[in-house]
Amino acid sequence: MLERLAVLDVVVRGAAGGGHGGERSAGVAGVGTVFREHRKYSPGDDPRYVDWNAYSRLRTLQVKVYELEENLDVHLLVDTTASMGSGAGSKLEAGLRAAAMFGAVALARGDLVRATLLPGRATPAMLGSASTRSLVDALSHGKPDGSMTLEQAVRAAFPRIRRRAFALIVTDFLDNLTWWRRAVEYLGSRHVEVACLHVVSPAERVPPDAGSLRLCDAETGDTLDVEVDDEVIASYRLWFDRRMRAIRAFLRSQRIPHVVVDSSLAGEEQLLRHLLREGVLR
Amino acid sequence: LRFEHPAAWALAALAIPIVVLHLHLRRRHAVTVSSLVLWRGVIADRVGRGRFRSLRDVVPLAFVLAALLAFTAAAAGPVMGAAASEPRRLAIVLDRSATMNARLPDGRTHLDAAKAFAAEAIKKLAPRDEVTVWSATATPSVLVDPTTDAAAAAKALTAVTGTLEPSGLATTTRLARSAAPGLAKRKWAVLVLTDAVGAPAVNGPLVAEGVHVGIVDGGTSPRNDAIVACDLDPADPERLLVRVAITDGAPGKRSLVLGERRVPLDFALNQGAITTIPLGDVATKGGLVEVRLDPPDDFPEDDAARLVVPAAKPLAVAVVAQTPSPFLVQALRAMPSVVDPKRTTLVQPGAPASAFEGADVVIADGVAAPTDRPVLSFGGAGRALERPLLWGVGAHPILAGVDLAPLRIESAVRVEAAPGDATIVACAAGAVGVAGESRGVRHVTLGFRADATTLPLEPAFPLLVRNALRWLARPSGAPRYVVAGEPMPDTDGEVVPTPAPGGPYSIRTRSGAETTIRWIAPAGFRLSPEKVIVGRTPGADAAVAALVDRHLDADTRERFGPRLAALGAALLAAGALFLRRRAPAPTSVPPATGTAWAASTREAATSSRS
Repeated sequence: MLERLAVLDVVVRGAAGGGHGGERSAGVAGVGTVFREHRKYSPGDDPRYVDWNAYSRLRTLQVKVYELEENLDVHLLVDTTASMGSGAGSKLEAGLRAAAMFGAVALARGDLVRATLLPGRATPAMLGSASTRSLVDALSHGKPDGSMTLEQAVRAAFPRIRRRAFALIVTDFLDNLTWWRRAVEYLGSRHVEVACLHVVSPAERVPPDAGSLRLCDAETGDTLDVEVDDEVIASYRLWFDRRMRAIRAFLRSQRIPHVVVDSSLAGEEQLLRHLLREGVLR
Repeated sequence: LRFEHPAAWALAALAIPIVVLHLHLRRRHAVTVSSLVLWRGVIADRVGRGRFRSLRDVVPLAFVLAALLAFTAAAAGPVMGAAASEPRRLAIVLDRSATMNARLPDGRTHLDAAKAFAAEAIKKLAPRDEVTVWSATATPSVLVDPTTDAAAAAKALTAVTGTLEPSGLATTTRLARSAAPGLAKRKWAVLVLTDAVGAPAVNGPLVAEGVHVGIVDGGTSPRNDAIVACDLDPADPERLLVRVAITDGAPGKRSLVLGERRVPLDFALNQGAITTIPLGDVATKGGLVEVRLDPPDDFPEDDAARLVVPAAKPLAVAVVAQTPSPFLVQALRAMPSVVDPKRTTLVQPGAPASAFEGADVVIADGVAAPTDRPVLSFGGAGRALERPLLWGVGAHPILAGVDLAPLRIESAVRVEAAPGDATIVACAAGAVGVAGESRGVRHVTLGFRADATTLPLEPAFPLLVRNALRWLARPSGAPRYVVAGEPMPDTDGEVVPTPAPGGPYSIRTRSGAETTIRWIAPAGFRLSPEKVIVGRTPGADAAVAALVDRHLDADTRERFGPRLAALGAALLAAGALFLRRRAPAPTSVPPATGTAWAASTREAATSSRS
């Protein structure tokens, strides 16, 4: 699996900004291997960059300018609240597995990867394929527990972001729409390119069958007595679909990829094909 | 209101497990969901829906409990009204003997009255009761087989007609009694409807329990007089001799009617009456006469008799005499209906036999006569008797209407009667006149000549001659009598032979002659009807009234079980409409592929990449 992931890449819209010399173009001239342009020589320029072939043709000193190559600062933000662990098929497990794949791809591409199990602190930056094991170990500590708002968790995880970064948010979006909108807007204000991996449990798509139910919130423990009948089920489906459309519409307006992952997808292979199909990996 | 199966109310205890099961099923199932965010949106759209939960819970339960109550009540068998008693059988023994044809003052026959009483008895039957009708005649039979169809039985009764058979009431009643129960332990009753004639014969069956005897005429006997004999009067063939017998009841005022003639009858008590009626022209011309009793009685079948009277055929008479008596000649001339003057001849003594060809009768006046022909002989050889005192002997037809008492006679000869001859005139010394038959030829021998007596001066002379000539000439071969009830002879006098029980009977005319007649008594006739001890048997109305009126003894029960069961089913269906929910707690869900939101998400991701 790691061999397959090593040939993939994370789809990023903007320029990298992670520093440390990576394989991604920073969009500015600098030390790199990719030729960018010629410019007239000026005193102080490194004579090693003078293009003598151009001098022979033009009789003027031209200096070759190269693209600055940096790596990508990738943040894997995995929601580990209690809601991620409820329902048939573990959303958290699917989310962690997707995040691990994503991180492995990034590490293989020389990106700087940090994993954050929300709510919680980010792991130290990991670099290089050798850190893949550490990344998996760090993610494997994720247990569904607790409660939080996404905004708070993101603010807590990115208090000092000063440069461009890429954040993969793995969550079930079962939060107040306002909170996670603010979280995304917060990340946008910090020039963080965001991709959302929306983990959905089948139990959320298909509500419990008819009957008198006492619904218990896995995160808050709140209960809600409902009388589920065909009408309620239809209304739930409509409401769920409406919510999904709202999430998608908002993320679309923010030019944020929205990848829906069903927690019932079994195995890395199946999950990988889904991420490739959704276009977050290539 | 009562319940046929009250133990079924125990089924109501099922309400307890039903309520328990309801509470168990209606309890809320705790389901942990990822977040209530999704649900709050749904519930927010349906605010207040939970308020009806209790109502929605209670209503189906109420329906189910009501259905259980209805089913339980249906099983308990609620019934209003009363059940009918066990069906019974009524055997009606209908006397159809001849006497039942007697008529009541209202014009109905006894049988009609009996049928009416029988119909009334049938009306008193309960719907499930059976009725059977027996015909009490000499040969008992079942008119109506046991049936619960009272209308059909009543209709069959209307078709019952009378018979002329004797009553078989005892046998029929006994049979009806033995067959009445039909099934074991079934109650029964026998209603005997009769006119009580011959009822003592059924006293045995009558005293049995369950037998109700009803007398349709209140115990009075029918009245019937019958023409038991009708013949030409041997004493006067121009008159009809009719004998009327009293067969039933007391004699009434009745007359014999022959054409326009009406002869009142003078009945001696239980002795009947004998009378003669002049035939008039029929006596000479012949023809069919009918005599009938008027007014008709209860049995008009025997109130008429028909008789074929042969036409009087004048006789060809040959008178053998040296000099015929002028009185004899005048007498022969005076009876043209008896003697044909054109064929009357005078034959001298010693004439050959051919001289008597064509002569029906020969009159020998003082001479010998041929022996091969019927001969009326006056005088003759023998011991002379001086001035004998003569008298007629017996009731020989020759002497019918002849009175010899005033006769004066100078002399006569004593006649020796041959074996088989009947002495018709005698004196102290012996027979003076005999009548007899030898080798099929009749002869009448009188031992005196008419001229030697005062006989020609008496009215008896022509009667004697006429009687003698008729007797000698023999009567017609046609039957001289038709008996009541017999088929009518045709115009040739031939009678269709009918096997006839009864008879022959001998009757004696007023003249003393005995006549043998044949009387075919209609079956069932009783010349000496039995009288009934009316006090021991009630009238038919009382007998019918004694029967229990069971027509209201119908099954009036109205069962509400089926209706309650239907109500229960309806309640159950109504409750099922409320209970129609899917079972909670799904165990599996379909994969996420193919949903609308997934497709839209992919579309969003694609557009964002672009």
